[in-house]
Amino acid sequence: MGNEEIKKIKEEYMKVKMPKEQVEAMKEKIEQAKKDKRRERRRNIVKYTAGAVTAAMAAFVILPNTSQRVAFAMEQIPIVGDVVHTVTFRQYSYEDDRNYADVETEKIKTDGKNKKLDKSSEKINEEIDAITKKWVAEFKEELKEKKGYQSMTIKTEVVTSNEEYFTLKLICYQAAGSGSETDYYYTIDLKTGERLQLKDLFKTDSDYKKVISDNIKEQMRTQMKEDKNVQYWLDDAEAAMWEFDTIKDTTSFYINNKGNLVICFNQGDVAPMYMGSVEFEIPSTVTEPLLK
Amino acid sequence: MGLLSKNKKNEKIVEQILLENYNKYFRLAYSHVKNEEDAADIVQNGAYKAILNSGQLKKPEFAATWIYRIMLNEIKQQYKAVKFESMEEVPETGKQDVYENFDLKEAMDQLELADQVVIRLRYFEDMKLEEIAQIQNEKLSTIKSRLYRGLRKLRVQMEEV
Repeated sequence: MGNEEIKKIKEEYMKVKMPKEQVEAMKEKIEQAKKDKRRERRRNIVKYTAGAVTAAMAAFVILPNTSQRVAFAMEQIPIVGDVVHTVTFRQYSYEDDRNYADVETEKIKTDGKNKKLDKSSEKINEEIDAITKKWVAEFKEELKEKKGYQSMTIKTEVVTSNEEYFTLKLICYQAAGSGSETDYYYTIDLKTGERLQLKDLFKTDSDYKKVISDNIKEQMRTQMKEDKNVQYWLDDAEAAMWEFDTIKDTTSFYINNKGNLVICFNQGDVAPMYMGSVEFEIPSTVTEPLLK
Repeated sequence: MGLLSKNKKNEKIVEQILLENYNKYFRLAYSHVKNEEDAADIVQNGAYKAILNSGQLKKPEFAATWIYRIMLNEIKQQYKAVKFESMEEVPETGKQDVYENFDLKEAMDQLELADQVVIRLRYFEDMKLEEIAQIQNEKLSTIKSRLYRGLRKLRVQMEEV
């Protein structure tokens, strides 16, 4: 009795495979769990929000009465979004045993004082609308099939809002079996009222794509070294066909509230799917010499 | 890092691991409960619980270990139920195993569940003892003694342990 025998029963052990229909049933369970988890979370969010509203109301009631100074301070709080602000619309929602969709996006509204800004905002609203409609149409198409599980969440998020830049992010999350996320970024340069493109930021003769890409690669390497669960498609012979080379004119970006450039990649673009969407904040020391 | 909330990210990591490793969980479950239906139940329930609770996972790098732990819990619960049933059904023969016909596989089933798991994960799935310790939430020394105890009972002499 020894290694030979162990090897034999190991072989036998390894032969056991989960039957296909049971694997499918597991995948359905996973989708069910996701849905239940979301429901749970939503319940919690409602709870928290309700609490916050009560707290805010209490503050409102109490504060103005306490002292002159506090009442004055409250008047000073600026109204959110002077030049641009957003209004939320629920575009589409659906839920049954197998399907779930929640589409709620914001539309950009302007103060109407800058024609260029009005035009850029309108264009962005139209683009978001078109993308959303396309996703909803696909979802509805899938509904007709009457099999399988699917879930879709589309929402927007104001990523940056300051005197200079306004960035709206469109997040499209879709799951059927496994999930995937696609994000779009829309940035307006509030100084000009124009849509901001990456190349607008840099001197025409600067090699900004290479400089920024090099910095991203450096960040990727550092992260991979520090955490073995982090993986990017870089310096990996096995994934040579996906190897990250350089950012492009179309690469997503925004300028965060610190004023730093942030480069964004969709799920699967520069890393394995499990890494999700990834972003890299480029230090100002790197971008400074390149700026217009 | 990244635009996804930690919660969503965890969910994705857990899902990814489940989809890559379900056969491992299934094999382990099957070796204990001995039928496909029950083993599949274990894996499916484990997968459901893992996703549902993925938000609680503090360190995603431990996701794989954490999922194994969930699966193992499912196995334990199911195993108890199965053991109990079979104890009622199978009449006592009063006969001990005869050593000439010693069947390693059968002998393994006679071991305590925890000992079985250590041996299967170590020798069949080639896991490190440290990992197994994390999965079973025990000290490394406990895992080692489980392994030695198990092997001694099996009377298996391995070249290196």
